[in-house]
Amino acid sequence: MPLYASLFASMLLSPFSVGQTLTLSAEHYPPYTIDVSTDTDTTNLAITNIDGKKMHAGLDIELIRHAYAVMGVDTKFKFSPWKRVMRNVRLGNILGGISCRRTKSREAFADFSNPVSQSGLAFITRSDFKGKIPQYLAGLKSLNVVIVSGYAQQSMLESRRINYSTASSLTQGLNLVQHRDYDVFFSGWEGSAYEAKRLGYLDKLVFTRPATIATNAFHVCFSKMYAESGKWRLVLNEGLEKIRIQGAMTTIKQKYGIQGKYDSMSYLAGNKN
Amino acid sequence: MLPLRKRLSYQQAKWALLLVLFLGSIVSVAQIVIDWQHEQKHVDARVEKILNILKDPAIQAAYSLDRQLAAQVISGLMKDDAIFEAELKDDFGGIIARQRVAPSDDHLGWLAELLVGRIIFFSTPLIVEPDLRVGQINVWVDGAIITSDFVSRSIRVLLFGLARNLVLGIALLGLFYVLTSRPLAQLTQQLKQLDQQARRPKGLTYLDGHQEDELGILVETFNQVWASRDQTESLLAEKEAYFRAVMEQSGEALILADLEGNILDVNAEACRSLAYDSDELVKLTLADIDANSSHRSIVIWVRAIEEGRPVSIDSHFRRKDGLVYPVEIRCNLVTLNGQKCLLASIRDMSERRKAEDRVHYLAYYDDLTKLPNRRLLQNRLELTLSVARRHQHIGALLFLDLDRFKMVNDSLGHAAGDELLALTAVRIKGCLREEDTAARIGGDEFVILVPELSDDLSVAQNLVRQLAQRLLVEFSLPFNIRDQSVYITVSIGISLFPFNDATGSDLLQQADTAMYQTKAKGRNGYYFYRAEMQTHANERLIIEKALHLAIENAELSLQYQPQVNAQGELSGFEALIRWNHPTLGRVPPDRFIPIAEETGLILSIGRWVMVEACHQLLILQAKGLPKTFKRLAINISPRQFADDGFVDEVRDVLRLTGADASFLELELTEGMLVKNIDAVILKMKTLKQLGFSFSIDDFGTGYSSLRYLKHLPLDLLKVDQSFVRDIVWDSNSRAIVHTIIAMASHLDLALIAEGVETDEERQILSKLGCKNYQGYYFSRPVNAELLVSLVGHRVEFPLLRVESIE
Repeated sequence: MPLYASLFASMLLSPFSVGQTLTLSAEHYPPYTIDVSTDTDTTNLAITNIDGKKMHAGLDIELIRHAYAVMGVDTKFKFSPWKRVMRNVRLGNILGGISCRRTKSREAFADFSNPVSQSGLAFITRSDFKGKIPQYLAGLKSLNVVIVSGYAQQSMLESRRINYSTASSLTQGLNLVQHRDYDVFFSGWEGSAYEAKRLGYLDKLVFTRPATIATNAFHVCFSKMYAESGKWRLVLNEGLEKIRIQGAMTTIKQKYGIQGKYDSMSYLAGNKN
Repeated sequence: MLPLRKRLSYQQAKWALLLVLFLGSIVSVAQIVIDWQHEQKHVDARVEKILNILKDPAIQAAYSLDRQLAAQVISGLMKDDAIFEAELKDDFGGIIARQRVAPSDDHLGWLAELLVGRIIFFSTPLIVEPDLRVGQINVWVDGAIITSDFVSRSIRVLLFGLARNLVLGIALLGLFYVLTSRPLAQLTQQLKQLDQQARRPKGLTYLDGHQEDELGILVETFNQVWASRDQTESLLAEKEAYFRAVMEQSGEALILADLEGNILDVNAEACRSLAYDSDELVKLTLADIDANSSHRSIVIWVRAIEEGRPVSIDSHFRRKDGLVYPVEIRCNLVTLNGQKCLLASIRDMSERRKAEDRVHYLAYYDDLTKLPNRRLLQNRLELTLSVARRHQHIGALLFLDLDRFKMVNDSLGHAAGDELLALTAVRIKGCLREEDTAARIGGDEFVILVPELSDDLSVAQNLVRQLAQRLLVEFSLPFNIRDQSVYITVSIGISLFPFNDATGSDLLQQADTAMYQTKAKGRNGYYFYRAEMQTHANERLIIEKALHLAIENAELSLQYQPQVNAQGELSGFEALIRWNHPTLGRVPPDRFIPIAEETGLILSIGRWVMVEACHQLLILQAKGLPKTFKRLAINISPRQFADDGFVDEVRDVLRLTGADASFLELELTEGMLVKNIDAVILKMKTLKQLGFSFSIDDFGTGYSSLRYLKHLPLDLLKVDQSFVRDIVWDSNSRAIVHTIIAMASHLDLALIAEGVETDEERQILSKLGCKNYQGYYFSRPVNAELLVSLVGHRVEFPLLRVESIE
């Protein structure tokens, strides 16, 4: 299958496509997508271009940029809030958005690339939380839950009819569970941990993995409404396959401490989960 | 006391209040307008301020499509009570958050609708730097709420302004009352009392505290005017009293009327003559008392007066009792109270008209028999003669003389004789037709004029013969006079006309001749005159032919008949022409003058007379005229006077002879004056300026129109000798002469009686008031030589010694 896909992708890449610059949208979601223009904490991860300008960094950004680069396609990344990214994908305003979990609701308007990276989910509680930390989603029903508005967790809770509150960002979600009366911040593991560390209270939070939810992959969701989005999805899949074979994928993942399925980041070592 | 609304203070306060209200309203409106301009900016700024405060969160909400944040932003906007709806949209128009409440139910919402609209919409785009539009905020603002402060403030401004102005008005009312109205009311009260007080005060008294201001000046000025008015009024009253006295004492009726003819005032004489009260007259118009007066005639009078022409109208007034009497109206224009009025001076002409009528009657009728006299007969005869000539029909003239009338007079007395004459007239008239005329031409002489008998001579002769026979039959019956039967017969002479050129006088003469023929043949019959017709025509032809050579052959001469005054002193001469022809002998003037008139020879004869008379005057002057001498009278014939060159002719004679015209008198006859009266007056005035005086010859025999007489520049009237001749035995002649003398006196004219032949006549004339005479009694006409002698000897008249001179 990968072979046929590769062949098909090669066929799609006409001489005119080579050298073209694709623009993909992303939300600042370290360590997967890092807006180096605003996030000073990730400057160590920043990539300096040959012309001296800093390039956006992040695990997914580097993997996608690299994958397309091996296919001869240049990439640019534009940052905006996640809801705006999703709306633009839905309306066909942009080619695609990252980093994007696969949900039923998004399948309606987006086609998903092959997994680019992985991310676990976490029930994040304060370390001094007196209640029982739930193991399953159903356990959230009795708690004050907050999620980031528009994230995949929202559809998970809604499908299970679990009440929740929304925060506008990871930072707000973490602040709410740390400083306000919220019991659980239901969010992505790696991103939240990265942000909590930046905020300086990672050690005051407890990350608990829901027992019945596998680690989710992050994809590029290509807008079904955007012209030739299908072609560029196939080209990306081909590029990803090439860099995996070449080992570049592993190298990049090692750079961000996320190497494989269910891996925790190295700097999260020591956490009880 | 004046009602409040009529008081000056109220009027001043009212208008001041209205003005203040008006200006105050303008100021308030201006204030509100300025406030509104400011408020408009404030409304915009207020909404913009709110939007600016919430703009960043709104941008964030729109950018991140954060519904919660968006809802917070919208909630924040809705906290402003003016905003009743707000929404936040993303850059694709999707609504992120929206909130709405019902707009206010303000009862002044219509005002907001008028000012800014009931709902105001604001929209602000949400842009992320540099140019990414992420959405927009729409806001709907309730106009009633946003303008409520402004409206409340404006109402306060208006109400306070109104209240302030009302208070100001009341204050002004009080102020004006104290300062103006009350003092004026006091002055008005004083003014009212001025006229009510029986004894007129000297003026107004000054008001306390107002001696120096305008009211003080007003009082002072009024007092000056008041004093002046008093003076003027008393002057006017004196003048009015004076003029009223003049008017009332005038012997003539005076009527003052406006130009519409409405009578405004009358004097006592007018009331008396019209038999109205003055109150009744001033309710009438001129047309009510004078049928000839009308608006049109008044306009004509006024125009004449304004053009400087005298207005003198003969008319008739109607008294209250309906009696109409003749008047002479003279009008003048006077201006009273700025209005032009007619002042009519009316003279009652009844007596004068009666006198005129009487003169006319006496001049033309015989008072005894009421028949026309010789003069009227002559007129009618001339007229009839011309008509008969024109229509070629034959008429007749019958001359009747009573046979042996003297015997009746002598036996029964003059009264019986007069009675017989009156009855004779009745009997004659009984035989005549309407168109026939019977006249008494003297003593017992009657003439019947039958204007038209027939176109055929024999028929005419038969008809007139029948008339004569009928008359003889009538006279064969006795007259009953004083219970006595008096028998008297009549001799009749008949002349038929028209034949040849026989004049009325000729016909009369012919009939007279025929009558004498009857007398000669035994009386009580009639004869036709026929034989002398051709002879008379021939004689006239001879005279006319001879007259052409009379001046050249020195056949004409002048004689002068003295005129004397009451003392018998010489006062003048009348130049009388004489013609002594070698073969015809002495031709009397009444024979050749008419022929000279008719042929035009009178012009050269007239000039000769004037030159001759002027030479004679110079001779007399050289001899030395007595102080009593006033005039040398020269007869001017009608044709001569009517000639256009007459005045120049006279001037030429004066220049030629060098005579003094002031001693020359031109004698005219009445008939010459009445035709073209204006030209006659002009001609006479011109001659007057040269020094001539004028007399009217044979006065009383002509028209005797007093109206013309008073306009003519006459100096002397000459009473006709026919009146003088009968004055002894005829009371009518006496009456005529008396009337003429009175008239001359009234017209301020001198008077002389002609034809005075006896001392008895002179005495009667003297008793009647005549002071100048001319006639055989004093002297017959004398030739030039004797004239010089008379003047040189200063003789007195009557001049018995020279009676045989002529």
